[in-house]
Amino acid sequence: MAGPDPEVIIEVYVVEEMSENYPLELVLNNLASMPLARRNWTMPSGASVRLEDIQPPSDDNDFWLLDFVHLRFKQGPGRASRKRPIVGFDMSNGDGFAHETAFFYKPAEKLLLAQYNHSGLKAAGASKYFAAFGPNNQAIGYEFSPVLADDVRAKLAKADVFRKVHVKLAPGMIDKSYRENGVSLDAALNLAEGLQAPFVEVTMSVGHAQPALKTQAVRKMISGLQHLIGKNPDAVKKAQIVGHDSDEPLAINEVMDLLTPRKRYSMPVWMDRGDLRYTRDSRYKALQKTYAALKNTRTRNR
Amino acid sequence: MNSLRWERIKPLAYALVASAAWYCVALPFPREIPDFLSASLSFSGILIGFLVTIQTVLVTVSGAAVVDRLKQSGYMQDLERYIKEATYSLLLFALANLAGFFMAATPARWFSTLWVFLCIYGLTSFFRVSNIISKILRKV
Repeated sequence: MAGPDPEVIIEVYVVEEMSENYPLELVLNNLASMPLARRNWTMPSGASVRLEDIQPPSDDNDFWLLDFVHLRFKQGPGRASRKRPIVGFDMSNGDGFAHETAFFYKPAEKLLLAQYNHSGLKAAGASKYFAAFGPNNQAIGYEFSPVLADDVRAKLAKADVFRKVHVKLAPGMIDKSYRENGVSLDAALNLAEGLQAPFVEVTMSVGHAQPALKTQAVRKMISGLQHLIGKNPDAVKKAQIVGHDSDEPLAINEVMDLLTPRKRYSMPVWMDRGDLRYTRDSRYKALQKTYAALKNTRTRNR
Repeated sequence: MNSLRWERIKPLAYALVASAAWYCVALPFPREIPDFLSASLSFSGILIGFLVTIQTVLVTVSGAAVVDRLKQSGYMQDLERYIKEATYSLLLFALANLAGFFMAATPARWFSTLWVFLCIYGLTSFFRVSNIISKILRKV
């Protein structure tokens, strides 16, 4: 039964390197020279991740293509059809299930495109993977900040009068990221205990007396929030900025949401016959098409 | 080393250091060996009983929000592992005490070192669990 053509979602991130001396390319070059077995990494949460395929820039391309697998050994699906009952896969000892996620990295623009796979490796996990294969130094790492949708970015760039900032954070909520970052159970409970309320909600708003909030301070806050959203999306429950691009008293206020409208693209992919996996080639192509679309939008906006 | 890794290996690390120190210093074991082993056997029994009670308490608070968060975040696996580790290490300590009754009046150095290792391993594993459980109960 033919359904709609399969598509994957591609998210856009900007890469920030903690140290200029250790660009992400250095780690990628290192990984490219490693045999497959050495690229296995166990996250602090116990999940196994491996960079399955890495394609360095060539004469024709100035970007990296990466394909990660997230390995699962504990529980998995079976095989069934509408007519046949479910049966298990014939697995050998040590076999598990692997969820694939492709990435595209353009060093010149510090631009990272990530295929979204609910069960696969996320961008935040990939940044930890790269840090683990980088120099053994806590101060050196990589942060992937999500890029906002064009309309929100344009509104934020144009706005120079901010009238309200509404932020809701869940700093004390124990979540997966605590464990993935190697926080002990005792320390996680302490952190949650220190803060009596599960959420902190802050609203900064100008009254009638003041014309606007301090632009510089709000911009700093926006970039801080974007970092936090990139690192731990569950921690930020609400992040809305209200402002406009003119200091006229009758100018209409715009609400800019930093959370939901991330820059995302849907791109077609395909499967091999007899296999329900999207091919690596099709996922790489989807990433390259996304980059081309992104470039087109930028050119048009200029 | 991150705090989660340290929390996982802490009892073993303390036990190794303490038993190595004991082996080097070679302090004498108490003279009244049967009484001493009997007392430590009872003590380990009390702690194992307490751990079983803790597991029952955990079942009764399984619907609490904090327990739910621990399950979702994967920390419950760590807690289960800590409880198992504490129970088994204290059981081994109890067995070592029982075995001690079959030993000579003055136990060999290897036995007293093993005794110290299991004692510290069991105690630190137990304190790790009781500390975490008390924090969970404060939040229920």
